[in-house]
Amino acid sequence: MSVRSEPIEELLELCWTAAEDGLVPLDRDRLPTQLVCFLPHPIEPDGGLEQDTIEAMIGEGLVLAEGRRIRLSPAGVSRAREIVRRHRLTEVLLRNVLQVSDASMESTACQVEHILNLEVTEAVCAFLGHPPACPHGRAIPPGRCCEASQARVQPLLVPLARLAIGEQSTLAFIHTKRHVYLQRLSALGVAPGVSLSVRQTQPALVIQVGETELALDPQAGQEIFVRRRPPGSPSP
Amino acid sequence: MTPSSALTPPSPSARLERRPASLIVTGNPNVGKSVLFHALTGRYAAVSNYPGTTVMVSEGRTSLDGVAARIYDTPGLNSLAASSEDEVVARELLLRRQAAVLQVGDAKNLLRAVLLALELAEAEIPSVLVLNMMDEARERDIAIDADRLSALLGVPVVETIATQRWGLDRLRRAIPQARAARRRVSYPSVIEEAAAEAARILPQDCRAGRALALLWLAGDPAVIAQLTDQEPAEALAALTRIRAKAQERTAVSLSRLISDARLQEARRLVTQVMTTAVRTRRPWLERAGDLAMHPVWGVPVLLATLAAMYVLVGDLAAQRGVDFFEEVIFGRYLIPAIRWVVEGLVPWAWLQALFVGPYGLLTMALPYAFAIILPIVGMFFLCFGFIEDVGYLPRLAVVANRFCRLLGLNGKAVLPLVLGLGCGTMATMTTRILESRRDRVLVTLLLALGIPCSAQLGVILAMLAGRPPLAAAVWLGVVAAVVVVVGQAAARVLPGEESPFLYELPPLRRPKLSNILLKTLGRLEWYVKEAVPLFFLGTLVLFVLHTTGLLAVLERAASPLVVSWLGLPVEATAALLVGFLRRDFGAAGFFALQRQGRLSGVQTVTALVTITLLIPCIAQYFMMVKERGWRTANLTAAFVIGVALTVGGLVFRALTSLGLAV
Repeated sequence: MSVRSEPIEELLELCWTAAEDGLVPLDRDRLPTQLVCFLPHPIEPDGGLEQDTIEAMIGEGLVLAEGRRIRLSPAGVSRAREIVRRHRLTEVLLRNVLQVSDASMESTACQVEHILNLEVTEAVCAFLGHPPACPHGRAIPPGRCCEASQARVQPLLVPLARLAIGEQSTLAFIHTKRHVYLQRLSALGVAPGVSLSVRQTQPALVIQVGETELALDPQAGQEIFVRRRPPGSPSP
Repeated sequence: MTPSSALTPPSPSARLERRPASLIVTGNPNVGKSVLFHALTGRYAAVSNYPGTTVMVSEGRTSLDGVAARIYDTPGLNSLAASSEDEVVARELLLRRQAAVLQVGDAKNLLRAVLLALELAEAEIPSVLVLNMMDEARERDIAIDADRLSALLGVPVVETIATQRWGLDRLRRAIPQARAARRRVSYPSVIEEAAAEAARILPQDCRAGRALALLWLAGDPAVIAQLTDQEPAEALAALTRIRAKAQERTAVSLSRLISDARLQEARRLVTQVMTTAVRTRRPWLERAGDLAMHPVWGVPVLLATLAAMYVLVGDLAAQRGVDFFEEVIFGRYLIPAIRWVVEGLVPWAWLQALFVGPYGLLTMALPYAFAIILPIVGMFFLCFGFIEDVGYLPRLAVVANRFCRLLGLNGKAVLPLVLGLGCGTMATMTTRILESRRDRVLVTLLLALGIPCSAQLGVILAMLAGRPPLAAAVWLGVVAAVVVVVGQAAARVLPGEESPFLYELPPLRRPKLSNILLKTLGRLEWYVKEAVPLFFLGTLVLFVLHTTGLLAVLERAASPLVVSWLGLPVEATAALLVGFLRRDFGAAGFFALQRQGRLSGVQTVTALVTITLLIPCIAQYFMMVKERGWRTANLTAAFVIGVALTVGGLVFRALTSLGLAV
């Protein structure tokens, strides 16, 4: 094999992420340069190598090509799922458990994703309580371990709706298609990293963020994911 | 609403206002902008403890360093990316006017103030940052290094407690030093490059180029609509291309990249200047606030509030107060005196009748306005002002959320509905805080249909107070049922999605007596200026109709409707007629009939249901036209009249055949 597996995995990840955003098929001459999650994560634009990688992937049957348009094949999808899963699980581990900074979270995740084997991945996933999404709000593809242990483990990351009244938590991410809603939450200072507690759930969901009390619709309770904090622990 | 342009060159009149002595008060919602405006200008703007009190711009004057200056009080906004109508108005003013800005922030919510400050910096708007409510921040052990913040942002920062007028002198001195903040958010390169490119295409005389470019990239609907209207096709195409190209380079929506970077920068700033202590227990006011919106305890709190208002408005004001004014002051002293004077001065009987006849200006309009309605609305305004000042209304919105969902609305819509109990006209204007046209139309309809205004409500309570409790239950049940059925039906018919619900709940505050009194006086002044003339006009109309014999004709013509269908005495025609001018005038007519013993229990309830549902007063009608347009307003009015008369007749028949003792 003339091309190393790492660039292949990066491109698989890119195709997966692009597909999540509906950007398929991709134009192989104009690949998005800042993909993966939403922090800048440029793929080195050394066009030659990129094109070689794509050729190799087509050769291996990972990618289907129609002229210059490319998309993942079923085999490519299942390999991409594994690599994306490893990357995003690593992000959750680094951010929410080890609490490393955003920048080193990204760079570390990019390296770790290539070396985790299945056993370690499942162990990490179980340790984190089978989180549904990465800190940037993108879904983590579930592995076999997730299906097996669904709801048996008390997960660290839960949607707001599952939080008990008065329980302290830290906002991990917001996973929503409602862009305007997200913008407005952001303008109110509601974004990953803030301390948050649920004041009441009926007749409307009321949360407290800092000194701001907000009433939200029930849908938001499913869209906002928080990390539980044991009582008495200091806010980050 | 047509958003006016931030891009077109200023008109000559706008150029006049380009003098630096022009100041816009802006900031997050419910941070005390109107209190500060009042303190600086002496002009009262309504102040309440809930976001959305100010829905339009008010203008006042002050002097800064001996120079006269104009000040504009504006609706609050959390971001230049505005979503509701009132926010769009505020944003337009900020971007269009060449004025300095007084950005008011809530000291205990520093992050949010800084977020907005960073956006104002992008628009290069000269500003002063006011950290208001320092007392509440201190109560919560929040300490802010204002000098450091000023150095970091590059604008003057002043700490104030506007309600106590603390820090206002320093503020006045700081205003001339207003300047655009130096601090810039550094965005990911995708955004930076696209924003720079877009800003080059936007017109040169627009100082807010970068801010507009960022709003364009974030896909702000109002900015897109505005640029689509005003930009030549090729510039628009280029702008669209820039945005599409930028979006191609990243898998994350541009709006998210922008707000994320801004938030990070704001957090960095706040952690450098603010320290907080961990609070061990919540103060009692906060716990009371929790109770007021508790799923279980919220209901008794609501009932207690209503009961207190019933006692104060329905009993104290409407019974004792009206008895005193109508029977003692007017009945025993004023009316006989007026009669004596008029009969002595005016020789012609017909002219005497104009003043002191059965439809006399001085014997009907005057006591209606001042002996019946004034005590009732005065007390209602006082109660309502108290509730507003404490901050109960937003919590009521939470408690009423379930009821609102029944109407196809979310909890935020309850605010205009509750304000409608104060004044339907004002409440119709407050629908501007709602985000979708669908919600605005729906709330406007429900306000016109089932929400009685304070004056009317007072009279209704007074009339019900004289009947067994069943009467009140029937009235409330029928009106609520009609509102729910119509709300449900309209929610299904009206196009558009239910808008997402996101509403800020301010803390409960100790009410400030001076503000309540000031506000009540302001409302009473408005009542005397706006409502009382209509009472005289209505009486004049009745007098003319009566004298010319037209009233008898009308009564005969309306008799199938009023007498046969609604089962009311023929005199009720006049009350229904003038009810179009003022809701409470109509109600007062029925009140008078009842006091004369001319209405049976069934007739009372029928009349109350009918006038509660019936067409809003003329002022609310014109506000509907202004806010919703002729077509929607007329359709709404026609619908409401139809429903009111139909339901009224049905109630009369049902009560009669069931033989209920109401």
